[in-house]
Amino acid sequence: MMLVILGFMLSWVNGALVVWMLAPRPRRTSVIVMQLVLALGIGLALSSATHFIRLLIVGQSDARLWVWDVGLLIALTVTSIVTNRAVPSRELVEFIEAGAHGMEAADRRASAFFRWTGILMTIVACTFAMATMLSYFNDRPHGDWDAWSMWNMRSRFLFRGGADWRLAFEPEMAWVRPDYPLLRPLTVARFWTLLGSDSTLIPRMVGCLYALATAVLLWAALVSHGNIVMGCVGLTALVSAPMFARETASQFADGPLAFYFLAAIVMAGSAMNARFGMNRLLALAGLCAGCAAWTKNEGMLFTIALMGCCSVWLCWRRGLRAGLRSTMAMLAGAMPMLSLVVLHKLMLAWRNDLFAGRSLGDVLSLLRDSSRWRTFGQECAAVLPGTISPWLLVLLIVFVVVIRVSGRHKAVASFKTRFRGLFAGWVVIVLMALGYVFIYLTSPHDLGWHIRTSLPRLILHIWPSFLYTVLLNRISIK
Amino acid sequence: MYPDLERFARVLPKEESIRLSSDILSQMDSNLLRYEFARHACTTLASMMLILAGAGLAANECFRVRRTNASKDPYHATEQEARFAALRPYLAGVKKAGWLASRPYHSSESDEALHSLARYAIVPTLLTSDAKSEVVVAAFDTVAELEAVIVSDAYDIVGRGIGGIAVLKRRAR
Repeated sequence: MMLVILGFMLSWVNGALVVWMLAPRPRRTSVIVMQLVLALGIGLALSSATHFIRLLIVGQSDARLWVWDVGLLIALTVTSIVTNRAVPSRELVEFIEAGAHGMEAADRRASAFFRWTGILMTIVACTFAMATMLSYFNDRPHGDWDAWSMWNMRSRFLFRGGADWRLAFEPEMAWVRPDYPLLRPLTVARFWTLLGSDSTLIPRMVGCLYALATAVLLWAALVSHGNIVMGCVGLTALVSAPMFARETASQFADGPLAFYFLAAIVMAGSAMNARFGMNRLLALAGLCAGCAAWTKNEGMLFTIALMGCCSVWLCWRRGLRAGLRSTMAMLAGAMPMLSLVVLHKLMLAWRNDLFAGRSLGDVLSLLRDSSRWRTFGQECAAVLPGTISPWLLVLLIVFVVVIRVSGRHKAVASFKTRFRGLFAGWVVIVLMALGYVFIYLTSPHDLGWHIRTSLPRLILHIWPSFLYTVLLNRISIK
Repeated sequence: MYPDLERFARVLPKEESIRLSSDILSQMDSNLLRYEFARHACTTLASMMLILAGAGLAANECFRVRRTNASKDPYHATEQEARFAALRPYLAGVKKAGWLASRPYHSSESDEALHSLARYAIVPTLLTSDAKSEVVVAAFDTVAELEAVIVSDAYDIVGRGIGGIAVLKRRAR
């Protein structure tokens, strides 16, 4: 168990070094929390990357893999010393923190009673969500169907397989999607290797860790870019969606994917509000998007959408030359993880069940089929209420309308400027949703079955990012 | 911030400008304060409603899961995994094994789940769906079915699990 803790801490420190290199120095608690959570996610992704490279070079996995993490730690330490910023992005820090300060002043005017009630109720909501999650963890220690038939099984091959770990990617495994990237299986297999046994505790712990990280990141991002009440609203809306506890406890890769989506959008939003150090933050956003691509195939779509949106926005706002430079920074951040994805596809599995052996004509004919659109609508209408409560959606809409209407006063509006860069966040979310609709409509599987078994997971991917964007869109910064 | 004030300040004498400015400012500030109060009341109310509703929904979901046993595993993965995991010692050194069962693995959802759980349990041996492999994992509903297949298809038993579960090896002809 000591090795597991050591491996976990090593991952976290490695992630913290990367964040320290690329993000501005934090001065407020919420920004420190945000960066620590980000460091955890990036650290786990980096460790899975070193594990994968080690598997490819050495050929099998053993407990000495922590030595590679130490090697990565030394490399990152040297790099961070060499690339040490003489001037930390103070202006950015002040900008983000000034906004939060302004909103805190507004908070102080609100009654402390309401603020503490909000915090207390948020804690209550989180406790109930955690209890629900623990019920699932307790009753399904091996996870849900896709966990034991795909994600955890792949982890077992990586852990138990020795030199034969590539059996997990044999043609006989085609129906369990061997082309899915390996962040989650490698993370679980790494902790199993360090522990010396394939305890069901580890995948449960990883699932819980990413769920907590997503919740804390959303809260910290909303508090640092907005105010504490907004953080509480976002966190409560996140955990009270029935699918959050259920899907994060199912031990799939969708929980980690939701975390990396949110992290990339938060970092891209921060970068677009930065006057200095923008490219470093964009590189961090790119790295988070790369981690998403290394988690699931949907992450590739996300990376393309985010990079495309940010490039257009940056070229439009900052001019072609500076915009292209920023895009290159983002691409440089994403490149390490994207290289792993390419390596995985080329060396192990590239065939995808959704696209293999299909022509453009087939896809277009499916898109033209009106009965599929009807089925799509009916199935979504049947699945959605069990995924996100309609009451929650109604209240969220009311909340956004109230905030929007109340911010219309001319004198108030003149005090404030909008948090920039959310346009890109909105466009990415809409593009992701459109991409998912396209995949459903052109699915080679039974459409009803496909939607019923996967729609809640797909909503989980974009739900935290949606909440961040929709809530921050209505926060103005002084 | 207040363009009207700046304009006044430019055209009026200094004392007059200061007097007017302070009048306008005090009026604007009182308006603004009243507006800010209403704004905060509305946003606080909306925030509280959402947070309270969220807490209620989270509690409702938690109680619903407990009341309806929604978290119970419909495929009994833990029990099935344990049944097949008992076969692992008999599969040591075998890279791939076939599958023999009462029904084809894709005939129903429960059969598919059984095959998947067997595959999950016996890793690092890769369980295929091929019934003609030299080594097969048998998962029959009854012991009688297993015995019948062993006799009719000429298999040797490598190891037995609980009920109709066993590792079989095709007999050399």
